[in-house]
Amino acid sequence: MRGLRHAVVVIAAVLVAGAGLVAYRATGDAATASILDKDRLTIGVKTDQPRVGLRKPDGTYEGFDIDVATYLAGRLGFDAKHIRFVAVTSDTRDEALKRGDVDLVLATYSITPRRKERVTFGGPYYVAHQDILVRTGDTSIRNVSDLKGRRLCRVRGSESWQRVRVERGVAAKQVWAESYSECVTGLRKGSLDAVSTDDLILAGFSIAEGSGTTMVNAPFTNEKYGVGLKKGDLKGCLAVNRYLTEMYQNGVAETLLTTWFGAVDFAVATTVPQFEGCA
Amino acid sequence: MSVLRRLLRFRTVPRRVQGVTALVLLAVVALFSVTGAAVWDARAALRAIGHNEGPMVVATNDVYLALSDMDAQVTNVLLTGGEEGWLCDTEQVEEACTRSLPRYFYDIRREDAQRAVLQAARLAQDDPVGLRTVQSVLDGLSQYDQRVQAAMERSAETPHTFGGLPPAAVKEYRAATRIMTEDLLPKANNLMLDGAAAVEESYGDPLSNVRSGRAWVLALGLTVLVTLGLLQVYIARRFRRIISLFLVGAALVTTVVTVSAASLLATEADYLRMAKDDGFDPVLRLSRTRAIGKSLDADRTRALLDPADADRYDQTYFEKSQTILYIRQATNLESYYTMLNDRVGRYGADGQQVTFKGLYGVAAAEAAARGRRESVDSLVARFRDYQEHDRHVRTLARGGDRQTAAEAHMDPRWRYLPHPTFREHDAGLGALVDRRQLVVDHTVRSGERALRPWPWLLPVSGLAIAALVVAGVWPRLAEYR
Repeated sequence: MRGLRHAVVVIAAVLVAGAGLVAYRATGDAATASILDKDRLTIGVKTDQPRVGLRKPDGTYEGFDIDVATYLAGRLGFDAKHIRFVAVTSDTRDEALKRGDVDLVLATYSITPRRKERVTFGGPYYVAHQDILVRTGDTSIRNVSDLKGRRLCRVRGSESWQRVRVERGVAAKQVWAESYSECVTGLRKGSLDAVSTDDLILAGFSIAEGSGTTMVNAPFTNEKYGVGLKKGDLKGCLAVNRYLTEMYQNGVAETLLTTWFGAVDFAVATTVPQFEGCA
Repeated sequence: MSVLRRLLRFRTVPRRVQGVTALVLLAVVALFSVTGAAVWDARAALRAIGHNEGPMVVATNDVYLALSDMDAQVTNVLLTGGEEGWLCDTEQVEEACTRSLPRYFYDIRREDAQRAVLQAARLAQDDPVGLRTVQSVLDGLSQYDQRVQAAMERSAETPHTFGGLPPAAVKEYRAATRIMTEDLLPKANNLMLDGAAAVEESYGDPLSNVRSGRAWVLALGLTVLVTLGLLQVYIARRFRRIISLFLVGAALVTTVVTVSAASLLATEADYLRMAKDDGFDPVLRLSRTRAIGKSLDADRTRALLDPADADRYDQTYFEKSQTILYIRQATNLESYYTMLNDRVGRYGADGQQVTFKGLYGVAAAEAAARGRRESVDSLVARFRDYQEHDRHVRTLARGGDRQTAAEAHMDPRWRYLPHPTFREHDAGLGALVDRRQLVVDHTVRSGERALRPWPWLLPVSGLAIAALVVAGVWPRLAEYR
């Protein structure tokens, strides 16, 4: 009886010490919601950019952004069954993230100081350069200055037009469109003279069969494609950066880039880009 | 169940005394384990900032700064001429030549970079991803060296004017600068970000634990005192003794330990906050500003050397400027120059209104909150002067006068040195980094000194209290044997 009693006291002491420590440890700051705590992942992607983010007739998606997204989700612990791709446009990306409709955005989403105020960006996972797409055979446009007075496509929510008109101060005429595929259709039909946006997007369009368009190959900006996360998800952002570093180290990035853009004549970077830092 | 019920049946007097004594001892155990854990946390957080992750971040930042310096030397020599002095090999005696100062500086900074990389490697040893990055920086460094050598040789073969590089040299230079800006610097930058996140992680949780630990220690100390009081009252009533000196002693020791542990934790939380907010965070922020400032200047030099790519360099120049001092309304470099002048002027005038963000925005807001503005004021003013001068250089270059622009970009007297406006800004940042690093070292040392006696003080005082309690109860229990 006496021995049992002592044992109970010792056990109780250990329990009290343990409970005290657990309670003490638990009083730290509560972390903000993170993609790392989710059961399934909804990823916002583009639907109309060949080789970057394209929805096929059967409803599945393909392209560089899709593959990077799948790789990241896999490393974050989500298998194919727990990932869902949904369509976002340049205009809806910010809102979709803010409302929580999507958990991640990989949609040729350039990191800019202005967007950084509303979105936490992992990456960039690639630094693209803005270039110009013209009809094959059109040699009158050789660089961004030649766009002066020409009809240039402007897509709602995309900042590419600003880069030409405001940052470079080139007085191009604007022709509104909802998406870059609409722009390229317009270019082919002759209702506009040039489409200017990131080389990855333009490359996808130019090598599509019978496109009748050519890339000028005169890069004039750096576009940092970021992985959009809900503002404040620093833990998720750090994890994304870690797996992006790994993706470049193990050669997956290079394989993906050559798979999707190997046929195009422009310099593809194969080392990890400079990260923005999670904030 | 019946065993438990029998165990908890406190009907007889000795059983009750034993029960309350057990309660006291349990409270003592809880008090000392929580205090011990809080002390341990304080030590871990101090160690993270002062000895482990903290120095690693500083080391990775040194890699970045040293790499930027190397690149700046190369770019400046190519811009201003002087390849002979660069290529001069002092070990080959057949040709009499003098090795130029920029070359010496390059060699020194290269060694610095290598040393800092190795230090980062040592500290990143249990992180395979980070270690591979460190490795590839070392590999990239030797590739960069080769390209620089080639660019210098091509450039020396053809005589050229100040700022006008022969095409063959431009080609090699582009390859070199590409390795630097697209491979080495990004990796150094990413290592730095990784390290900063690691500090945040190994510092943040322990700190909030230390903070809440104080309340815990006080509450548990009070619990011990209350249970001791219960025991005292019970014994006094039961055995008609007024007071047990041993129990009073236990209460005294408990009070002393509780109060000093609580005040220690408060002090440690203060030291930790100071080491982070007044030391480490500013060190990181200012070093980052310094690194970005260097690559900003290099972008201008590159734009002058390689006008075909000037647009792209202008954009990166603009974005880097925005990282240092963010003006939301500025849409391009021209509007940025104008707005910067205006806003820094307004900030200097009253100092209350910080109308900009970015790294300097954070620094200015913090300085205003603390009422110590002088250091930030002079930095921001120097940054404005630098940008003002750059605007002049850029206007010259855009006007087609590359040689004058290149000359204006450098120091008017020693042309292998960057312009004084850049040097002043850079030196101001460097001085402030050193000052903040002293704050880190000092507070970490003080915090550790305050902690030093506790690893033995805690168990000794815990055992002492337990012994006193048992000594107070033992004679009473003996009466029943």
